[in-house]
Amino acid sequence: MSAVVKEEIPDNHFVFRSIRYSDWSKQNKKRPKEASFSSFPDGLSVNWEKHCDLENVFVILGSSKNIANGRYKDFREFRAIKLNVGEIKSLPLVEPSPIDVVHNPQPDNYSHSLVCYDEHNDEIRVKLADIVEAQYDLIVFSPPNHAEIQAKIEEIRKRNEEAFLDDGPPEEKLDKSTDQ
Amino acid sequence: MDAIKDVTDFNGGVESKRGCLAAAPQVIRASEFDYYRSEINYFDPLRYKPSPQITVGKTLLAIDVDGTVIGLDARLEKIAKEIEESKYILQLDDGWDSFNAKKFDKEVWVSAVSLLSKYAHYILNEFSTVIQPPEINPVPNGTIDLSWRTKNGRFLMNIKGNENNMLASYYGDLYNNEQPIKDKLVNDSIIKHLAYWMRNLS
Repeated sequence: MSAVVKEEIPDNHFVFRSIRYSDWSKQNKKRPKEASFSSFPDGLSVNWEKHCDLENVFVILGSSKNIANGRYKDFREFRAIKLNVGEIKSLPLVEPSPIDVVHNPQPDNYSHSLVCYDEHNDEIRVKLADIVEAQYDLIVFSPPNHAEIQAKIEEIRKRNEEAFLDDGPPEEKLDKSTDQ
Repeated sequence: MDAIKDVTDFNGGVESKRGCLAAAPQVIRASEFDYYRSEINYFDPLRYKPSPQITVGKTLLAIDVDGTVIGLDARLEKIAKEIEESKYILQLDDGWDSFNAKKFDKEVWVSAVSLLSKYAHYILNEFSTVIQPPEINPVPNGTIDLSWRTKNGRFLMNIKGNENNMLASYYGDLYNNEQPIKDKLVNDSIIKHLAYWMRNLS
């Protein structure tokens, strides 16, 4: 098996983060809860736009399973936010703390990347949430073409089921790091 | 309201002359009620002197979760409602976020709402200020966020239970990084300068 190539992500590139509808603030529907930016366990999972357009963000979601209950996720439960890599890395923090965005390709998702920062740094989560609120109209997206997305998901699910019958469980589909 | 009750309900309407919590000793079990264990005397039922505005026995709200009772001054009713609504967190299973989130230990939730009520009472009693209710949000790593945005400031406190001898961490500012406040809490003792800053959450 050949090694997966990891690329450098330039600061002027963008990443998508998927957030469930229920994970937005009750008081302000334009601000995600800070809990949406928990970097648990290895970093904040995102998809690098260079290798994954908006539609594909939702296709990847819908063709992967919830690790806990084994059911496929419903892409309609999510919105995607598009964040600039440079802006993430240069958040105006009162106490400097390293933030990095690294390519973390997975067998079923080459665009998978991680935003890495201290899990206990609450300031970073507050400021990421507020960036989204401030730029909401420009960077928050609902699934664009439900029918097309659903068709692509069905195709991938069917392929997965066939692979399951041939080779056993597709481990990578349950891998926690491939969720995004 | 279902689980939020006036303490007088528990005590047949009999009011105590000793103090708020003494009104219902048979309901609020001392061994399970955080304030009884607290070293801080501002809400010690044996020492607590309610301010003149408090009508003893009719002003205390109690929230009961499996025998753990959280008591709140009636002026903190909005906070009591938020705590009540947050009970759903205890029902969440592994994977509740569609990914790999952990289910919650009751201890973490109790720590979160206890800490919230403790600071809210302290700020009320020391500064005569009622802070706004936070959003009480579950975090995938099994911790709980208390999140505020008010016209004056923003503040996030993350309660971890007792992970690595750290009860909680927090960050707040008055927007645009003005008067930032950031640290960790190792226990539930009141940090006075934090409570003073939290007046901005009114």
